[in-house]
Amino acid sequence: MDYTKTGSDLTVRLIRDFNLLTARRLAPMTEDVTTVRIDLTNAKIVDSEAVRLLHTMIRSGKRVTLIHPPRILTEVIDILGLDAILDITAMTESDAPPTHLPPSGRKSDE
Amino acid sequence: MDALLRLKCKASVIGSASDFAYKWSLNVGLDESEATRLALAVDEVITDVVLYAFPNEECEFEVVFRSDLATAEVVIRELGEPFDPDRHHYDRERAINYGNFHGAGFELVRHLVDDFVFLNKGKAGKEFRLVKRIEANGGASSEPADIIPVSNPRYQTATVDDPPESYTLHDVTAEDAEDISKLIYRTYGYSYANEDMYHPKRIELGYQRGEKFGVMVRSRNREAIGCFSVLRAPDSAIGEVAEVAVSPGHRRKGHMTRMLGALVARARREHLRGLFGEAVAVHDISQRVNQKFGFRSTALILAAFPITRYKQLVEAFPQDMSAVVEFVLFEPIEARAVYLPIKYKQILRKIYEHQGVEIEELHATRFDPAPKTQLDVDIAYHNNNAVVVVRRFGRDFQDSITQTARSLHESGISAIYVDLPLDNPCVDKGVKVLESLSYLFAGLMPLFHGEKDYLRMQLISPALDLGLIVTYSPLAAELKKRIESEIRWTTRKQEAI
Repeated sequence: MDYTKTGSDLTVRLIRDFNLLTARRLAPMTEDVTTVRIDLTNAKIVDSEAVRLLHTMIRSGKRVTLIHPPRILTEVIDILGLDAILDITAMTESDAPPTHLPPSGRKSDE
Repeated sequence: MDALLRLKCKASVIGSASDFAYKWSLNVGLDESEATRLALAVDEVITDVVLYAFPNEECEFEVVFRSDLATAEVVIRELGEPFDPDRHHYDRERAINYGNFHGAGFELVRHLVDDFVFLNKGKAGKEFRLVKRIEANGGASSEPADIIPVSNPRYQTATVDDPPESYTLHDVTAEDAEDISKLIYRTYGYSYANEDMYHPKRIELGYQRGEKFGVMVRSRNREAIGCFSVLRAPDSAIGEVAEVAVSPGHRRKGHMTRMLGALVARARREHLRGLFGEAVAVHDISQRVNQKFGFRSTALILAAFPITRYKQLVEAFPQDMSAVVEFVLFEPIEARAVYLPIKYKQILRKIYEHQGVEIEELHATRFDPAPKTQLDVDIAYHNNNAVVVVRRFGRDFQDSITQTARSLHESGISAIYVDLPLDNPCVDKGVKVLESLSYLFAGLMPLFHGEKDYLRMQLISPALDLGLIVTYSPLAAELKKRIESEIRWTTRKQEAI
């Protein structure tokens, strides 16, 4: 994934699905930030491990924003009955273009 | 099988496997949203295997992808530590209040696929089966979507006086798919059990892929009035005669006999080693025609077709329908070296004799099973039954077969058929184990898997009234009698307990 950290703000752009592997890599990066923007344009799937991480971030008071979440995420949230705490519509940046990370702050863990 | 992935137990394989599942799903006919659901279900099960099944990353597990015209099935097999998904329930309140998502993955899987079956095969391992139905229009629908509109299925019931010689018979091509679908509808309404037959595209695909061949009869005005097919077995050079229909107004003119004769001739030309039919045992029409072409009874399969699949028969027939299995083997018929289980020696000899097969009876000198049993399970989800093929007898055979049957029953499978290889010296021991578990004799399945002969035994729940089963040949009647006596014996044994 590509990411940029500015102060207490983290922006990440996933290059594949949001699953166990991605969640394991993302979790440590979120520890000392207060806002997290996640660009899911390239993610076809967001699984229960990813939802667990989103839930953890929100419970700990972080502001989480999603960009272009896949349609299946809403279904996952419905099945797990988490719509009250994970409101995907409210969390989604509407009409956001795909994230362009500034070259200076851009990093990659790949 | 379409594909087999053997994967290391690492988190890095999850994305690759779900990507493959997605692309494969699209290729077998699921639309994008259904392919995404199946890929997510695969992701969830594999995540669970990676996280919990094994102590280290060097262990391996398998993912099998297989499909037919109506079903996409992914099987995840692993030999990790014992586990039962039914004991790991997701609790929404626990997730919201404590961040504990235990069981969330399987909760998703249950909602994302049409069938989710967990098979615990004891020491032989565990299987997670994920099944999606392939709809012709890509969406969920209780009625076939691309059904050809015909005003009234009985509009052809007036008898047509055309003489038999005015009809023509030809090999089916993919272009005949629409006519076949119409014919099935006119003949059976919506009561035909195999829903594929109401979807011209599926029929067309079956012929294009070479999964079957068939013949069709047309009247003098080119109307399709009869069809009959041979479905090639996936792992043996034999075929099943099936998908037969003769339009009601054109019956009693020998069309079925003529079509079967053409299919037998084509099967010989294509070097198949034999054909078999599963004749529904609520009447003897199919059995009589089969016998005319040298088919001989080999087995009686109880509850082969759930009555609920035959909408027009539900009220007339009170129980699931059984089938008489009949085989014709083509020359040259090779002699077989087989271990005949003591209990079924006489009846198996007789079945072989009727098939014209010479047998060399082998005698096991000692019971020497492998350390672990290997079972392949083929579930017919529409028919609520499963065939368990014993690939290898292990010391854990009883445990494996018991666990597998329990898992299948818990998944709603009501009839289990176990195929035991007759070239294996452990087959007698296998029969004794199955007998102790109340399995009944079914019969012989010649050349049925990998061109080897198998003894079939069966476990049916609930019990059937065998008096309602119609047989035609004396051998089929003998098979029925044999099974009846086993049922009586088993019932007495259970009452005594």
